[in-house]
Amino acid sequence: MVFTEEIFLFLFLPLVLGVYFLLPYRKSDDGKRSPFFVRNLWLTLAGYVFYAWFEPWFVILMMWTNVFDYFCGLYLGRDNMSPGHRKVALWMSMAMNLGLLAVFKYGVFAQVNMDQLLQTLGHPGFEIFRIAFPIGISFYTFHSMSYVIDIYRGERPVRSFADFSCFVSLFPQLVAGPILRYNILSKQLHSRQHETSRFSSGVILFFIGFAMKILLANPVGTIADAVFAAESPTTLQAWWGALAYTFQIYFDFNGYSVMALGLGKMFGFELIRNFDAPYRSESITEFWRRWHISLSSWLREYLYFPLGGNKKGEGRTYTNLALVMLLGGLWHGAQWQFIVWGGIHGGWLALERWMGKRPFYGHLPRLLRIAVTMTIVVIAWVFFRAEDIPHALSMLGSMFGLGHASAWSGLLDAQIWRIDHLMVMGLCLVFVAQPFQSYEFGQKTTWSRLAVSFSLFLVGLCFMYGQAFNPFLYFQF
Amino acid sequence: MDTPKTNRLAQWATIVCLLAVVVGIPLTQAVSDFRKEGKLHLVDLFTRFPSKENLHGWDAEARDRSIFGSAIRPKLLQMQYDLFGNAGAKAVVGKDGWLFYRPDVEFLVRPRMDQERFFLGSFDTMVDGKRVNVKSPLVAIRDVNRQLAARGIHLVVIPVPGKPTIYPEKLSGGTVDSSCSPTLMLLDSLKASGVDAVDLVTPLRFAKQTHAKDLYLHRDTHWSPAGVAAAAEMIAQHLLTLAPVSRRRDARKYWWRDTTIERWGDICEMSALPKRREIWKTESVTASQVVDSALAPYADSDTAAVLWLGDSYSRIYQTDEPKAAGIIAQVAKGIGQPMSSVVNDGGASTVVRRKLHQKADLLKHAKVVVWEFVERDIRFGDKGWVLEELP
Repeated sequence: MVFTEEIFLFLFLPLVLGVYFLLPYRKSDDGKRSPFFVRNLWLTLAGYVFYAWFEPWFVILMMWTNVFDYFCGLYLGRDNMSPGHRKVALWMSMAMNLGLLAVFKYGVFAQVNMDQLLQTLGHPGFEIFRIAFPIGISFYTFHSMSYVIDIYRGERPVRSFADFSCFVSLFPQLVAGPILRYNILSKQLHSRQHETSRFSSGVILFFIGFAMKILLANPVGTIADAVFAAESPTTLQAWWGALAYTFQIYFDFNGYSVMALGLGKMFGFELIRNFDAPYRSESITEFWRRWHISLSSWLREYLYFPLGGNKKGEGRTYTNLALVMLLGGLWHGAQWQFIVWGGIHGGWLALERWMGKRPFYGHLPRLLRIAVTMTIVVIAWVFFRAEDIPHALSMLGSMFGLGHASAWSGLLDAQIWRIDHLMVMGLCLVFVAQPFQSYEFGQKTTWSRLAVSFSLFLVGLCFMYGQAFNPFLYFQF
Repeated sequence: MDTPKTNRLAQWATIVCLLAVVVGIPLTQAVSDFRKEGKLHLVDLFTRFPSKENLHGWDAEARDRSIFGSAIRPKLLQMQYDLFGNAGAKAVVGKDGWLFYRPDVEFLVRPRMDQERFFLGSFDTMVDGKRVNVKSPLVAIRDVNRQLAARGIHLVVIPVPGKPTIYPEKLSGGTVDSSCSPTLMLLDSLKASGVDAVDLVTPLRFAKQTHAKDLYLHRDTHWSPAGVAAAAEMIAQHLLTLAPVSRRRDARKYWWRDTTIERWGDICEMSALPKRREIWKTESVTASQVVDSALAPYADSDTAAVLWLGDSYSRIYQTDEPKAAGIIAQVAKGIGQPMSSVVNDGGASTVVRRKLHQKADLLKHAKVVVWEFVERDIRFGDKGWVLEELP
């Protein structure tokens, strides 16, 4: 189920909201079961139905993760556990979670590479065994892992399975984040406020996020799709397509995140902000403070710091940065181009760290610093969007005038240079460039903000009816 | 001015706005469903086993039944066309009132069959101990050729060029090197594999220079009667070089009878614009109906030596108006004998072969099988290029 389709808007959301607010909750916390136990249970059930809509049997996999990590958490939280036993429990949980990722997310990737290696060595190779990819597995696995790690680090485990399951399967953030660390949500599972100010602020955010996805991300996505699908575009077409994808991924993912934040608020949760005007960054270091904030803070917390962070000397710091970004790239998808994308960002981060957290173009005027950073980001996105590395290199070749445009690339012009395309690309540029972002816009409910957001939502609704099914880009991760 | 009281009102108004949409729309829909059918569509959801197919099927039905969707969608499409010249997901607007079918354009723009990217997302399969990729039409065509050859039947493959291959200038703002065609590349590969194939790209391009009439309909995916005639001449010439066909040459005499028809373009229809009938007019074309000595329109023969498998390029003017004026009738006239045929719209890559199972007798009499498909099927063939046992 997707936030921007009818089944969600006109059946799931009103039903879940309606029942949620009819269910009772206790006013006081007795320190045992959450006062919101029944409501959390309802949200858990809703999360499972939401997830099952993609493919019912995927729910079994998610349930298994939930049950396993719930008991691991309980075991880790017992008093007088020896450090050895605690470590074993932690490693068992990590092995199970990463094992699931290895099989379901990286299984085909491993087979393809093994097959190619065997063929290179003269062996005939083998047929690839196709494995279905459970949508959002990277997200809920990371949620679940963060719980176990936090318990290992001293957080109290939840007593109720419903509460834990609610944390993992909370539908607003289930399949595309924001990736929550358990310690952010643990208190809210027990005590949260349901106020009109928070609810209405959530509605405004939801309206805005919806409009971002339908009115900006989807239209520019058609340009990106056409250009990236082409055999070999011209230089101008290639830049246009890469820029379109740069906007698409931002408005698609940010749109989803903002809607998730809004939905969270409607149910009384404060999820974390995922984007903070990333394309206004003046360096790659700054970009990663503003882009997919929940992932970068997850990686920092659970990977970069455990690896030693910047506490083990300069060389180790650069290695850690590069390694974290490489793994971050691999987290996005089981393909070499994601690893290269992570490598590019990791390399730049290390370089900027070496230069004292400043880019080598730090002496330029601010506007130019932003432009250079944006150019680096656009180039890196080419790897992220391309079908494989040779395709990414071919696109980059086209962008820098080194490629040969295909005989038929002229026909692409009729598909990508339309007035509506120019308008929507212009709008995207305006929205990414200005400092007042959707997150700030949704923090307060006023008549003017209601008028703007509701109008955009209604226009978005009309366009939703006219667009083909268009899932969010981050669902594939 | 924002005071706590006005803010509180705005907060409630925001919530009401949300509820008005997410509750008001489904309630209106439910009332409409109940009035029409006496039951709620929602009930169906709980009467089906919750499999992915059933859930998504219910979802798709709900979208189709949406009264808001069906009211808004056409207006929105029309607005997008009026303001931006956007004719929808399936149509690309060309110059001088020409329309193009998007997959025809995408076929040319996307990677060719000789590039690895053509096969992206597919994996090799082992067939008879060899690694093959069944996404390639070559694999299926070679397989059909092998099966037919084992029965003593000759296969002739005919990829039909799409409109943008012959008339790129009606679409492109930039330059196009139309001498390079992915279809010509397929033909070379087929010939190298010993499969007989007819090139229609070159003769149609030549005919475009010499014919006064356009070879393709301006607002239809398909060729015009002039295009059919040019292609039929080429195909008939080729078939007459084959002994089983030339032996029966002039077994039956046919004549032409010109008839003018009004053709409403299928791309106009696919645009789904409410005002499409006002924006685009029908095209008037003169088709040559093939008739026998009794002036009866051409009819297939179930015992023919030539069996024709094809798609909508074989259907147009043949079973459509004016009938018996399509490529099958024109080729039959050219070779002087009737043919048998199995035609499936948009399914010449695989579906037509499956359909042949229902008419297995046709293959028993056939000495030559002609397999016609539009070039875009090389990439977008319905059901792909599945390896199938012939009946």
